[in-house]
Amino acid sequence: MLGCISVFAGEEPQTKTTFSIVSLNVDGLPGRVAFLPVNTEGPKSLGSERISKYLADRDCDILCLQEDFNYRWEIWSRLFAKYQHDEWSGGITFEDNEIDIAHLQNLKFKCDGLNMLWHNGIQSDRYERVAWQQNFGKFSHDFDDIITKGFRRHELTLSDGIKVVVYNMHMDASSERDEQKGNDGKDREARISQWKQLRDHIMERLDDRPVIITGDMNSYYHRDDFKTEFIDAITATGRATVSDAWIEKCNNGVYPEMGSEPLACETLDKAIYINPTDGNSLELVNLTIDRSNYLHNGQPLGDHYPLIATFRYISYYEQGATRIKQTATDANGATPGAYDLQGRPVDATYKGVAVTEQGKFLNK
Amino acid sequence: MAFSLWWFRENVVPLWPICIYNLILCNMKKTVLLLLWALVGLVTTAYAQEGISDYQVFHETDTIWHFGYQGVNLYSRKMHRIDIAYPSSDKDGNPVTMSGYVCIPDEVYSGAMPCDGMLVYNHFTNTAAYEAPTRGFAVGIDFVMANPLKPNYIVVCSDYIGFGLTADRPQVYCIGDANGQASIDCLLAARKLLDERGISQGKYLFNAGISSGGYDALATQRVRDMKYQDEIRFDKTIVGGVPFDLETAYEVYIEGKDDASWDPTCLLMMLDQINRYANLGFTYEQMFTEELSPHFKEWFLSGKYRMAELLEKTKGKTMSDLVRPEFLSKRSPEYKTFTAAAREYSLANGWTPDSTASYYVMHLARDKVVPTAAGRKFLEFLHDFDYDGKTCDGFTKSIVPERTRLQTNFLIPSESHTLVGGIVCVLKLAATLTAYPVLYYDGELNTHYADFIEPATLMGIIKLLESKGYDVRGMVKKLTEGSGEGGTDFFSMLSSITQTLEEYGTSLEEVMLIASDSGVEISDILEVYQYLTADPDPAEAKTRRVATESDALATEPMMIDYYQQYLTNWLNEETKDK
Repeated sequence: MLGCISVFAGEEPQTKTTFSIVSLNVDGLPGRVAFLPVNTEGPKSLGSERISKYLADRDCDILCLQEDFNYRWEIWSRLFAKYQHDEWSGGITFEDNEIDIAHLQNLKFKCDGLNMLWHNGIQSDRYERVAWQQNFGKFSHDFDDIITKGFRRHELTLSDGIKVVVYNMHMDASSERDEQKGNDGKDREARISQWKQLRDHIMERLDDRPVIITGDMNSYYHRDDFKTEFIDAITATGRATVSDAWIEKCNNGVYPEMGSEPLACETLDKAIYINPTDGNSLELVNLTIDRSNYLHNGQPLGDHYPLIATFRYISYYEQGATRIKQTATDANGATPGAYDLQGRPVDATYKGVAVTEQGKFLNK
Repeated sequence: MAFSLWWFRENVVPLWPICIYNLILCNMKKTVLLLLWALVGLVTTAYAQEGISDYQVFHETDTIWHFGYQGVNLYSRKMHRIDIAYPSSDKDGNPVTMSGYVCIPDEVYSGAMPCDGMLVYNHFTNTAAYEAPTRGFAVGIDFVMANPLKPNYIVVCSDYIGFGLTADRPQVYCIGDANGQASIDCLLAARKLLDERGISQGKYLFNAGISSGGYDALATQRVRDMKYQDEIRFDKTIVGGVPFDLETAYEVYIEGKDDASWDPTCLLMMLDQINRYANLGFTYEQMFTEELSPHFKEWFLSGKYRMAELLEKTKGKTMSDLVRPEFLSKRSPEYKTFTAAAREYSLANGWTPDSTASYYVMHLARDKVVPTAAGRKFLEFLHDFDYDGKTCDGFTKSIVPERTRLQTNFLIPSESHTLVGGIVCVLKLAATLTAYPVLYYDGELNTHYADFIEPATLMGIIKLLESKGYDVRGMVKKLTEGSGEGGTDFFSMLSSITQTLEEYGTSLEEVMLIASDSGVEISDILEVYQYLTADPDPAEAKTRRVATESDALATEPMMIDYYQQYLTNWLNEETKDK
């Protein structure tokens, strides 16, 4: 049983700052792997440099990138000067991997294609990389299981000292072919499993910091019931409120019904934010799906459009105030683990790069 | 205990004659010891006859399997073989302790590689006692496991009655489903052993065999279908050169009774088996000529000789040289008695096949050991089996894998049952074991592959070529121009084809039979003929380009086009990058 201890004196919210975050699938799969065509229509080297320039021009505070595989230097080329970044986990290439051609079923690239960048002056205090426990589609269904897809979690301290938690992720895809033939049941199943895994991961670590979850979720409200499994489930705990930036700004606050007609304006990418009850919170200032600038010669630079959200951070207390918040307690009321005065876990369980595959740490 | 049963059976029982010999020579002390030794052996042998209640490991060894021929080993693979005694039953349902092995690739046993699945391997005709699988004889399966594809499967193989722990009994050969029961029981025992040792059994389960092993693989499938549907499901049963229908085989043998190119041993063993299994009561003198009857027991039943040695003994002999004429005449009462018994103990008799099972059936088009017609009977049996008053569409013959649950290969016009048929079948088995974990990784047939094979029918290929811009009708018209009055006249075209085929040593009849075995019926051919020779819609014809000389290779353009597209893309990209 989980319970919450909340000691809070009613204070006026204090607006501290605004910041922007962009989520973009940079479509960085190579045109070809060995002799196999993979992404012949993708931006490849030159297009990736254009994407880099676009991102540099947008000048967002936090960049959450997906499919940053084989063109990382091109993607980073215009961003080195102003941004710090987390680890690049590798590309899709046979050259760097010992491939057992006779047993291709054992093929799995270690990379996740995720990358996060943040403006100089922002600091990542704690970083964690987690693989999805369930994937579907190794040699079909969009090949999700051929790479180590998952999410990355950063605890960021922005330049003025405010703290947010940001998740960047890439969930399982469905191919158009499978959707048309009604053969995407297992893809949906895998995605819902990933939403649940994400939910549990967030809730186990939730403290007073607001959380932003963004990335390529490959999810539409009409086909994946993540509203029930993620948004409603978290809300039901009473520990936080959950909002989807697109619902708030582009769909009049209305969640599309499961099984309803697809909406052309909905994208597979999401920007969801979680405000802990009685904690610090975020307010969505603006959301842009940049379809008008992410172009070259009238053609999109990649197969996803950038999703740019601007948030205002609202602090309910001064830094260093004495309080205990949002700590999980077990059935006996005891508090597991150690927490600081802000209710944040202080142990260093997830130091360095920790890739989990089916719950096992591979690299601590 | 089981090891001692086997050991005493093999080593102590033969001591009785030595004991008597020593007794005569008055070497009393030694004789008493030997007698005591033999007595213990007899007691344990009797125990073995009663059967055991659970599997027992009696021998375990690291061994090496080879891929090669006549002493030249091209590849090898380390295997860990566990020989087990396990409870089973004979054809009458009496309990019997059988032996078999569970053989695990070293990489899987050591945990270096994950296990992809299990293979129930039904060994082919063995006649020498030392050819028992638990004695290390692994010919056939070694080609599957030690070839460069190295499938990561665990092999389960029963010795069958007549070998290993049951070497004192006559073997059961291509009749009834006793060996099928032995394989199923061996699999169940192997599963238990692997569970107890914590060794993964992987996702896939195959059942395979060649020649008489193919017969036993079908018997295994039959036993599974009839008794173990809830516990066992084979992803595929892969067989080659199968004497499925003994009656048909017998007929063909009789037709070739004076042809020395036929291998007579199969008929000899078949007659002996039916006679014994059905208790017909014929003596060897009644069945076989004087040339064979005094030697039959020694040659075929003593366990001293391998099949290769028996072939040497019967080399150059026709069936008429070895079998009495009344057994080679379709009008004789003996023939009728034998065919009636063969029918009674046929696998087809009483088998309700699982219509969702999957098969690969291979047979040489001119097999001179196991008649092709006897294997073809299995295709007919499956397809014509009455499922609620209808034949099963799933068992429609096709050479294209995964388009059907009855994939066939009756294409190869060879007579060499072992060297061609056997090798084709084991390599097919190796390829299937290796491909399955990739093709079915996601629990369904790979969708890209499924899309690729979707148009793989005669009409499908024509439509695909046309969709790529090829004027197939125009090509056919051009090819058949001048082949008789009217150009595309069907009969003059047939006449022209027949003439060409004769030059290649075959006939239209044989080609049509091969086509039929591959799932292409005359109606399909006529449909294609009608389509290709009909006048195209003029508006449609305008959209197609004119056929060129190079279009004559009608089956190649599709593949060439496929790769050309990607090669061109690749070259363009390479040039662009630089």
